[in-house]
Amino acid sequence: MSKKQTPYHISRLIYKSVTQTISKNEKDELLKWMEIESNRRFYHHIAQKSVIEKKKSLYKATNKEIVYKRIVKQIEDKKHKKAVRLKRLNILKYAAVFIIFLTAGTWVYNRSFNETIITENAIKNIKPGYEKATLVLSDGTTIDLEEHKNELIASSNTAEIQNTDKGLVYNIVGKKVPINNIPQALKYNTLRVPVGGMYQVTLPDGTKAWLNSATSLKYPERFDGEQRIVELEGEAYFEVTKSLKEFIVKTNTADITVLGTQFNVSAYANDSYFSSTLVEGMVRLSSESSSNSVILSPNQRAILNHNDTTFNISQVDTEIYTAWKEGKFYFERERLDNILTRVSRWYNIDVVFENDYLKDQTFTGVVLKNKTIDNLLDMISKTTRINYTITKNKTNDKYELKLTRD
Amino acid sequence: MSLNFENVILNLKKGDPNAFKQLFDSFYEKLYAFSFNYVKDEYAAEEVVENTMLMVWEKRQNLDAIKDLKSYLYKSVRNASFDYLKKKKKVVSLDIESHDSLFNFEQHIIQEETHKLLIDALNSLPKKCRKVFEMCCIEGLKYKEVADDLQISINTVKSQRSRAIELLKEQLKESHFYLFILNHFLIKD
Repeated sequence: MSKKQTPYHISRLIYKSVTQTISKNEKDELLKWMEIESNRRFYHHIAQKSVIEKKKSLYKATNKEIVYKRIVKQIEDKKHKKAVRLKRLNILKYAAVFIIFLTAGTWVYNRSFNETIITENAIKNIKPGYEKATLVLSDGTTIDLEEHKNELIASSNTAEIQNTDKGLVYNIVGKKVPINNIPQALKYNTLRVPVGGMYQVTLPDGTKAWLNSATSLKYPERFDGEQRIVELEGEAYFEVTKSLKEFIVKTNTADITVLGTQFNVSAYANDSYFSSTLVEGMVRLSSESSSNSVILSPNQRAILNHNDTTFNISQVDTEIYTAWKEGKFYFERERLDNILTRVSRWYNIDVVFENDYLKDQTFTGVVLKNKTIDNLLDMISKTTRINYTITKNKTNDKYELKLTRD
Repeated sequence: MSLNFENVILNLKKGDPNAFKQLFDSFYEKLYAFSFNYVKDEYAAEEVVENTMLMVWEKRQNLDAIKDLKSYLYKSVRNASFDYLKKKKKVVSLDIESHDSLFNFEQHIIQEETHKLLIDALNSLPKKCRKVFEMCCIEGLKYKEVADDLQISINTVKSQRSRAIELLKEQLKESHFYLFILNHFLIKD
């Protein structure tokens, strides 16, 4: 008799009752069930015309076929991924796999025709970033480094600045500190990398710094005094030459103090966090908002959210946070809004989300930065239900990437 | 109407995509509408059902360990819907799960099962008698009212209504047999 208790059986009885296909016995059974007041009310509720009509229109909005295709696609993709994992491919090959997925799947997803054309034209015009920067000398002179490749940019009594294939290089001219030992006022230079740019600089002490897009680094033409101090806004990777003099990277949020080591710092004013990832050696982080300073060991990443007072430290694969300087976007379970913030700095575009829900989607993957933007976007739209269009914003003449639900 | 579950599960375990499609086709709307009761968002409901169906495919080898596939699907969708709500941190009461008593859960199932049966039945009827049937049986109008409204005779209303009911009765008889045949046909394909 337990069959009578199941909701499936009850719904069959209700169906038969509504369609008047119910037998005498079944009707008695249903009436017994309906003796309970709440059941009776429930019966009349779901048999109502308006309720059924509502359900009909909900059915129509279900995108049944599209969802089915998507499931099949995911099943297929998972088969691929399994095969790939077995081969233990390195990162670059992963990138290649994404491209294969991309070509295999482009015809599957559908965008409306017009949008596709506008977007395709826009994609042609959106160029990935490349090596460019401007240098501001201590006297205020601004030099476009892209226009002065392989040139001696400036020389003074303290330093010689060469613009080489490997970026800007500072060489100290006078080998020793001035004999009279009167500390001279430090001459500061600022290297500014625009959105869509990237640049490398070798500082007077031999320390190398890679500057990511939308970043500026201020440093003296030579490091005198007890400490080597630079100021950073944006993101940079440092390989600091070992010395007894502390090397300090000052940012708006926190300072990083090291002796000699390799680490990444991301301190964009318009990001909601500061972060530093240590590859080698040891660094100390301190911040005005955080009373304690923390020490990072290799393979650790510290995050300080702008509204927070403590550093959040986690073990990471440092490659993820340093891949940008090798010309790669590398994301691991990264939120889409964070991904696109970085992407927009490289391709110089604006990003708009149709729905906040989309921002929370996370992705893992590697994309080469010298590819056109659709390379990355298709990877995203193919693996999830996110679609995109790109249009030109007439007011600021920038391209606008809009993410929508598929 | 109702699937021959033993067959579907058997074929699903073999990795038969047709069996998966059958399962998907017969459950999609129900599960979607069921999830919608909780998440109140079309997009989220879609995703919940999508993920649940994907999980069924991935766990297909263990399916016969799940005694009642229907209830398993509903439970999975319910849990996934809760997870979604938690993730969204929607302002729903914190003890949402205890609020959703067994009674609620079963009511939702009854509602979605009944609606799917009804909507499928209506769609299966020829257009003419569907209208008459809807007005008589679902709206509960009198023959005279239906006749006036559709500008047909009362006798026509009566005969169309009976015809609709006869057709639906036939379907009830045939449904199991029909799907059994269909299963075999698809497997050979």
